[in-house]
Amino acid sequence: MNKETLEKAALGFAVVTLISLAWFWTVQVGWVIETLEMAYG
Amino acid sequence: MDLYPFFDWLDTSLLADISKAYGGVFAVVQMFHLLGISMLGGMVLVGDLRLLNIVMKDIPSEVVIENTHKWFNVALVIIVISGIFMSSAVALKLYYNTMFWAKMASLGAGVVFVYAIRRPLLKFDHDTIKPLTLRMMAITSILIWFTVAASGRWIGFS
Amino acid sequence: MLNELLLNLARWLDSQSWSTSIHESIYLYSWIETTHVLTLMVFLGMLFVIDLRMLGAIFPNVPASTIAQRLDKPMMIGFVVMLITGFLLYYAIPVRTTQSLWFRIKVVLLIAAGINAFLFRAKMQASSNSWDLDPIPPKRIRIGAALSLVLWAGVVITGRTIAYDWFDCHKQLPYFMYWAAGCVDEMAALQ
Repeated sequence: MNKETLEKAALGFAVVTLISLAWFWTVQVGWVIETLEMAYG
Repeated sequence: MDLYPFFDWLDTSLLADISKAYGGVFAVVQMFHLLGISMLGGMVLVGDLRLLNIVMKDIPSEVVIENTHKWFNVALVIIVISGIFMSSAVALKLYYNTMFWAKMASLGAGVVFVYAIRRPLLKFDHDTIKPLTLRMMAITSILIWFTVAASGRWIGFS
Repeated sequence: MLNELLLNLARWLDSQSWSTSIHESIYLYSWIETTHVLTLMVFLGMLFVIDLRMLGAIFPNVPASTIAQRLDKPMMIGFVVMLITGFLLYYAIPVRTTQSLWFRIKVVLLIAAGINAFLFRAKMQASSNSWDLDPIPPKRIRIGAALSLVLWAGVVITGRTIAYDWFDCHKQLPYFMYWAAGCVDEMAALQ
């Protein structure tokens, strides 16, 4: 692969991954808050 | 593609006989898993923090990245081999564990990222790559491997 | 004597409400423990890079002292976080941890690793200008680096095995093991 394509791929991969990870961790934290609310009201 | 047959096979394999029966062997293998994680973390952090201009600023980033490759590979091999052994002790439980699949997904993403994108791109002169791209890659890399490790630890809690 | 002292200290910590809160929390304990384990990537990760350089296995083209100095700060940041989270983990379960044979071995190994690091640093500062640029440092430096890795591997495994109850006080153990684990009451019962 040439450099321009790789650079675009890197940026694209980074953006997609960062969004997925942000979603993943938000879901985890939301789940934690839900459990805590059930436990302590 | 359903991977259930693989986990079913692993659950009754010779590996499982050992990992289920001997807690001491399991603990030693887990030590290697943890040491592998540390080594991988060290290589990833040194490389990425250099790309972010935070550590070793007086050493060319090409040199830093180049030097971490070999030991990253070694660490990954140690982690995967010890990881398969550890999985065999709880294979069927893992199959139904969401965190386990989250970990496998991030591990897969990490491996593709390292070998198909990060390494080939960083072979070029780093001065010719846009600083934004370098920074985004470094942040992505740190967060992916952090997620792999954190979700791995969380398998044990869930 | 020391066993009684440590146990009394542990019981005092155990009687504090914060200790109980962490222990009985739904997530806090797990989060502290996860942070403790994940900091391995920072502290032990940096230590791996430094020790591998001292073994001549990485960065042959960069002076050994440069690697050690540049990575000292991130390594110490990782170490401090590990120390704090480690203390909190002890604080949450003080009595059982005090009477854990593994924890005791771990502390001894930690002290040994600390002494080794101190001697290593002194040795390095005294002699580094003669071999700093060598891809493979002299043998005494390599031995120090290897010892450091072995000791930390020991710290990791004994840290992990604290979770196993093989040698807990409630088990039937010989007097010597009770003594080593600090099972004061069980020792008295045997006498």
